[in-house]
Amino acid sequence: MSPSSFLSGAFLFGRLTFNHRLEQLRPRLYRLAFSWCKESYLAEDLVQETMIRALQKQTQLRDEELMDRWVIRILANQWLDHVRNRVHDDNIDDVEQTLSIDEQQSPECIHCRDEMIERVRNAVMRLPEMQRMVVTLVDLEEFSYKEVATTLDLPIGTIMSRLSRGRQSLRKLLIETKNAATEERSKSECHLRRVV
Amino acid sequence: MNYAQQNKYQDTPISVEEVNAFIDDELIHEDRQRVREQVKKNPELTQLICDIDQIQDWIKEAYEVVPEPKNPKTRWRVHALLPGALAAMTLLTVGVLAGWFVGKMSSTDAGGGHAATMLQARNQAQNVEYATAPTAVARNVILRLGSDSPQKFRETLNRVEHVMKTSAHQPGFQMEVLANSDGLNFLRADTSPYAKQIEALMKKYPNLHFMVCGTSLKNLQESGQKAELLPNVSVTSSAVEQVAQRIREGWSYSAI
Repeated sequence: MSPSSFLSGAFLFGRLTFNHRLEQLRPRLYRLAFSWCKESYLAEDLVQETMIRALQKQTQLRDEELMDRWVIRILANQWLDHVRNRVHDDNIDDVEQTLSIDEQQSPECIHCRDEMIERVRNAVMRLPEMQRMVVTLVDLEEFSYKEVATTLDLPIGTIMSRLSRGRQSLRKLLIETKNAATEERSKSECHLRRVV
Repeated sequence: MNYAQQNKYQDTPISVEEVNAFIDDELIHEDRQRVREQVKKNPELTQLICDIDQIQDWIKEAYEVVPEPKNPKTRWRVHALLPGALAAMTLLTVGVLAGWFVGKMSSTDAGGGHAATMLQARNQAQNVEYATAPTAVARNVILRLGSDSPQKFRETLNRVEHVMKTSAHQPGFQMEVLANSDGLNFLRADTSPYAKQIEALMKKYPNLHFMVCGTSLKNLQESGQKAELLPNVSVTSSAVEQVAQRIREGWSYSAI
């Protein structure tokens, strides 16, 4: 077999493997996209765009071991492009979250698991974009800080700060609110007992 | 660094970022030890670590199962590329065997003859990928638009006009403009700022086709929006399938 024929065969085999691996990544990409936008059709569109781009740019993938990181980076860029087009004048890094915590219930108070899941997803959606992306990349995808920094093209210090702020906000929304609500409830009960 | 949090834990020389890094196993041994010492002394830090740990569990649980995309057809979009690749692979095998056979025959020749055979075999293998592309000679073009930015609308129109002006006369030439996601607005009767121009272009160039992604259209309709398309705009099953199909056929693909 001539070396050039062998190389071309290897190229085509590589393409088949690439397509197969890309398809295998689809559920992960979709879950991550859904955690960022909480809309199934938008998540699907993002994944679709990402896969098209990955197919286009497959020759740029240097290390096949890192294919998932590479594709997730494309997904992150797709999402940020989408957000930039949507938010227009606001700086997505500085968007202040509006924490209307009084309407939140603690997951522990909720009997139905589905409702708890919805509360957590809503809380995640209240985070500014970059905090949300960092939190999900670390907690869902189990990326290291360095990997998140590479994916989002930001310094590690910024990643640490976004992660910290994101988790603090989630703590406020999901845990401290519960404590405040419980305290409020005990006060009312105490007051009622006195009246009685 | 979060100064508010530093104040909150002013008795401790560690920041909340370090606490998070401790939880995520991102600290070097000495720093881990330092955080551990502080955690022992400070119940607030212990509580913070427990809370973050709880949040991590909730996040994992909240996205363990996510709602399926509504169109199950999307599942095999990338597989749409596979049949072509498999056909190419089969042809490649034939090409490789032929190349090997000719190589064997020519290996008895001296240097120059062998080099010529090698070149022939390489060309043969390189052409194999396009062997399944009957329209590749004309190098047709598919252009995809996925955004509703006015700038991208203009860019799309300019690019279409330019390509058609330079290539429309080529025998067999075809161009497709595929809108998906927010790009659908480009081809909707109620939202497109270029409806007249698009209709005029289609009239002028019968080999120019405008189409929308069926999945995006369905999503739009399901969100309760009216989705009336411009006249003669067709609907394709999905953007990925269409692009994959055209790439397989040897078309030139570009996204705006």
